[in-house]
Amino acid sequence: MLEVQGLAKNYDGLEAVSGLSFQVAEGEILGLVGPNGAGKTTTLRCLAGILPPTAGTVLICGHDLASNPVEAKRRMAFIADEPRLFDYLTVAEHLEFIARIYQVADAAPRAEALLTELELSDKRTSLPGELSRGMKQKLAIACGLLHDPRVILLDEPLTGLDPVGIRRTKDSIARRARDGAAVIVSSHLLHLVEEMCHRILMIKSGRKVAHGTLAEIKAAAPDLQADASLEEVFLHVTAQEPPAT
Amino acid sequence: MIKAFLYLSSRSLKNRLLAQIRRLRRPKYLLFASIGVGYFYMVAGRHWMRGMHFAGQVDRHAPPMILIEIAGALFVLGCIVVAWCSPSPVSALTFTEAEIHYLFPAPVARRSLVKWKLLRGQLGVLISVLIFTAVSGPYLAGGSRLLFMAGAWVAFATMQFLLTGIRMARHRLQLRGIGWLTRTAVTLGALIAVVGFCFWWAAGHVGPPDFERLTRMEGEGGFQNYVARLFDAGPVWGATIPARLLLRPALAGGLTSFLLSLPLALSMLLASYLWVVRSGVVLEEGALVAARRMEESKRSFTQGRMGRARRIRATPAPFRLAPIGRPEVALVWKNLISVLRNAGGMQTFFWIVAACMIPSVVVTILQGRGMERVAQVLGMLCAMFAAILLVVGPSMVRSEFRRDLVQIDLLKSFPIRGRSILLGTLLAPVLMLTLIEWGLLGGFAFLAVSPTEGPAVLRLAPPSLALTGALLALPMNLVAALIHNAALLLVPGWVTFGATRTTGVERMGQGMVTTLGFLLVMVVVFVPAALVFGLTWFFVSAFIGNVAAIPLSALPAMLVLASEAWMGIALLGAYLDRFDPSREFDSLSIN
Repeated sequence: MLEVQGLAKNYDGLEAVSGLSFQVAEGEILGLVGPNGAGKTTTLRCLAGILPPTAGTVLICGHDLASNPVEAKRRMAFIADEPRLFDYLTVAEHLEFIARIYQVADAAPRAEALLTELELSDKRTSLPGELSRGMKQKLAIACGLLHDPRVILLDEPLTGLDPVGIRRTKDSIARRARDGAAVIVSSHLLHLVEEMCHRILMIKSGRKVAHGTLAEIKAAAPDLQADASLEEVFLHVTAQEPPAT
Repeated sequence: MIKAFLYLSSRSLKNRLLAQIRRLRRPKYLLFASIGVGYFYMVAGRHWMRGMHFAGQVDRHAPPMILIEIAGALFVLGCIVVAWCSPSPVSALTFTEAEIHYLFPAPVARRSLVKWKLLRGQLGVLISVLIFTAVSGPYLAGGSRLLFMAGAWVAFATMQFLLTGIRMARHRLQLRGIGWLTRTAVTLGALIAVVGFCFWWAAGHVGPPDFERLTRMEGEGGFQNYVARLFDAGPVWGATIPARLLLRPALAGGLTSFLLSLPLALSMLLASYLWVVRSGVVLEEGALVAARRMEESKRSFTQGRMGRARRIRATPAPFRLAPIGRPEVALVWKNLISVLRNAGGMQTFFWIVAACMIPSVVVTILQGRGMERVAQVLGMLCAMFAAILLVVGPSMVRSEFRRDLVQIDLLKSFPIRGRSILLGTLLAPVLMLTLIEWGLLGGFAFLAVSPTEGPAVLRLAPPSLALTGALLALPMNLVAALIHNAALLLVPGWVTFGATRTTGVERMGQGMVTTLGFLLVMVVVFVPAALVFGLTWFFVSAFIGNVAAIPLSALPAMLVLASEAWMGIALLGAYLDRFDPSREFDSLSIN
């Protein structure tokens, strides 16, 4: 579903991401974790087609993001940590706009269902300036999910949400994965990643330091206890220097 | 405590300068900075290179010093009156949200915060003094440049303290229930009383001016002599002398007169400082609201809108957007909503049009020249505003693209090509602009009649000229808007995006280069269309006459412009597809 091969991104000599390769299968949720400045957001922005990678290929549902970006992006959603909204469009108009951009024929019932699911039904005529941070995040999530993407990239998706919103969003992500979507969740909330994700990709200084299920990662580090939590694994793995590639 | 504040200010300044210097590692920024420095040197810097004295440099056409002093004093007094008559501020002093967050809960006396605000403002005062000295010094000062600078600093700093004090006093009055209307009425009442008394005194003691003699600058009864008599005695002297004394050190002709005039000016500086520091103002009241407004205004500015951020109202969309169809239409729809809900700029334009039309009509009616003449005046005004919009309109609508570029992450994640993004973003404001131009050209066609005298082109039938303008308006607007937006895309680091505003000498250089580049590209783009227009007209006019030939010639010219617009959109769209926001924007994110 999502295949990344040798992804690299440099910023004026600074190596933000280097030689990153991984796959996310249909129905799988991959947790992308790493310390601050590890390159998580850069990785996601490269996968979303926002930043052109310095090297590497990204295949989304078999479509190369570089050579066939329109088809690749049509099957993908990127939900950023900071909700990106248009100041002048109401909640309902955001969904109408996204429906046209992604050519969603049955947009009206889908939008209705999403607004209900994310508790935004009574805010459909509100402008972003009238919404709280959490509501804006919910609207960004609704916009991302409207076209039923097959690949979903989420960067700190639960920031600003209340406990009910967190629960609903987690359920929504899990349900979409069950329906066959490939999901990447980048988050510092390690308990959330441990709870939701099937596999984990840990990066540090733009390089992969661990990849696999929690059990596989623990098995690769023999000095870790068998019942170690993701937090303990994270602290152990990221404390080491990244291996040279 | 002041040391901590100085640390904050000096570090902020240093880091800002370092960020600007680091950016110069990229050749295009270095080039623009060099041009900016060169321009600054040509305008002001070379005066500095000639030495620290103005001797021999003072412009011999400069007005006499007494007139400069009086004019300056009137300006100072005018600023004070305007400050007193301004609306009540939300907060006594304006702080940023970060300052409120860290300084208000900190164990810092409010008076220390006020002192810090006043001291921090001195950096701006100093820069203003430097620029003012460089640009205006040779015309205003008779002595040393250093003395002029020192005097100007005393005057500027005093004014800064006074205006801050007035702002705080306005806020205090507001908290006590004395609003803008009462305050303005009292201020204007006092002003009228003082001015009236001065007039009454002048009429009895100085007498009315002899206008024939007044046209001469010097001599008995000349302008300088009359003004000096008016301002050097009686209540006029009393009303203006404090402001004149404040300006005297800057205008001093030598060290002795500077030293003689300095103590009084410094005492005014000290008095105004103490007035502000001891005013016991409530800083918390409204500070957060003011900070938010400031942030909103900054954000508004970075998105191409001037002035305070306005509250947006969700007015109906222009049409219903179907979920299936060309994606560009979605962008047009979105931006039409944006234009309609942010019609501040348009409203200003309509106010200007009305402000020109209403007096013209009233004057024409009063002159008893009949309704035909009124129609003619209105028609010509329509043509004038259509022409103005054709020239300046595209630069007004580029803010739509700027607003969208702020959302570049979102746009680039959409499954659409760069050319579609560009076309969709440009089309809405260009269509709105063209519709207004068509309306004005329609007004010209229906209201104006061709004059019987004057150049041949003006004697053409207005409908013919209006039709020509209407045919060319859309592609011309599209091409010009595209050129404006190309600059935003090709050198976005020079345009204000996000929270950081680009300032400094390189910004000046960038402005000059983009303006020159814009003019050059406009010439290159419009020359082929103009040639096609001219050639068509040359061959066709002999057969069908000018009235039909001119709009007919506009058709191929329109096609040339449309082709150029299409090519520009294709090229710039391909650039947008490859565009890397992380290389250009300050909001670099590598988490």
